[in-house]
Amino acid sequence: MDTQQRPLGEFEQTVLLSILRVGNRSYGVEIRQTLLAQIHRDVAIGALYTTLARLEDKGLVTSQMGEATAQRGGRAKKYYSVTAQGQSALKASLRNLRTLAEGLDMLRGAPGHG
Amino acid sequence: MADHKLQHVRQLPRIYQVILDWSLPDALNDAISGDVTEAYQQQHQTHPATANVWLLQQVLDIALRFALKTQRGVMMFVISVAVIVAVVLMSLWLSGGLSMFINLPSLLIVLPPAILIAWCSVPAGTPRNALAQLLNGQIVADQSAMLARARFFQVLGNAGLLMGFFGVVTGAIAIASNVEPEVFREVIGPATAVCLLTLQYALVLKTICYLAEVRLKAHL
Repeated sequence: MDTQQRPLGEFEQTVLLSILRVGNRSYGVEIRQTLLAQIHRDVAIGALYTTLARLEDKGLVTSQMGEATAQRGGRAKKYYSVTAQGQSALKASLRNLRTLAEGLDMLRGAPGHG
Repeated sequence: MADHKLQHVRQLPRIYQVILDWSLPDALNDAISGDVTEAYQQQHQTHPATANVWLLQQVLDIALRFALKTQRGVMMFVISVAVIVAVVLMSLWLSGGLSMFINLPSLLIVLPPAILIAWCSVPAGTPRNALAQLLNGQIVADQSAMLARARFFQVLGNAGLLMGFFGVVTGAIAIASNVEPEVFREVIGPATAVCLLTLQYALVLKTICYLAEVRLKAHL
């Protein structure tokens, strides 16, 4: 309900999509790597976790502590998954974008547009 | 092979880890510190020349984002002290230069006795804990410990103020006893100025201690 009142921001959509791309269970480094590989966006770790914390507060993602590795200085990973509520919010947000973009001349020829 | 890899794991420099531990909430500390460490290894492999600059940027960015939430009280205290110090320095500078406000004997009259009195007035270890509490908003303590820490700053400020008045009175007595009538007009001004400096130092100390006391009592 709350997600209908507050539309997702662009970066929130991006983060949710990248979590889903990694199989709906990914931690910070994987999310950053996905964003860099897919859309060439190098995100600051602080910015990513600020957004993840906000998404978790809204109930759009859940987190679970994972394993610690030597490569991480013995620190545990925190895996994030998009909730059903998060997936609904994302679908609604993308649908709204498509509706607004549909038929705009300037977008003709862009991927996903006629 | 695993041992070989372990030997080449780059740990974060100690100062960066301290900054992360200080600024991050407990719930995110492992996740973010671990990610920074892991990404730093990767950065070293792909961009060795800029890895350290990248690390500095990331740590500062994280500290700025999270410290305003986790260490809000500390940040406000630091900003308050900085503003007070800036205002005092500006007023001294506008009054004719900083040099005439620097006087070591006046400082010695105020600071060491005030610190000694405050140190002796609270249980052992309290001054160190009071300073740590002041700089880390995430430290928790029971009410009696918190009151003792606040009392340290209260006594420090009050003792400093009393020593400041003591310095003024002592200076005034010395002036009255020693100034000869024939040089009175030349000597009275500078001598009074130096004698009033003890009170000025005491007031600055009292103001900062008052801020610290208020900040610690906000936890109660």
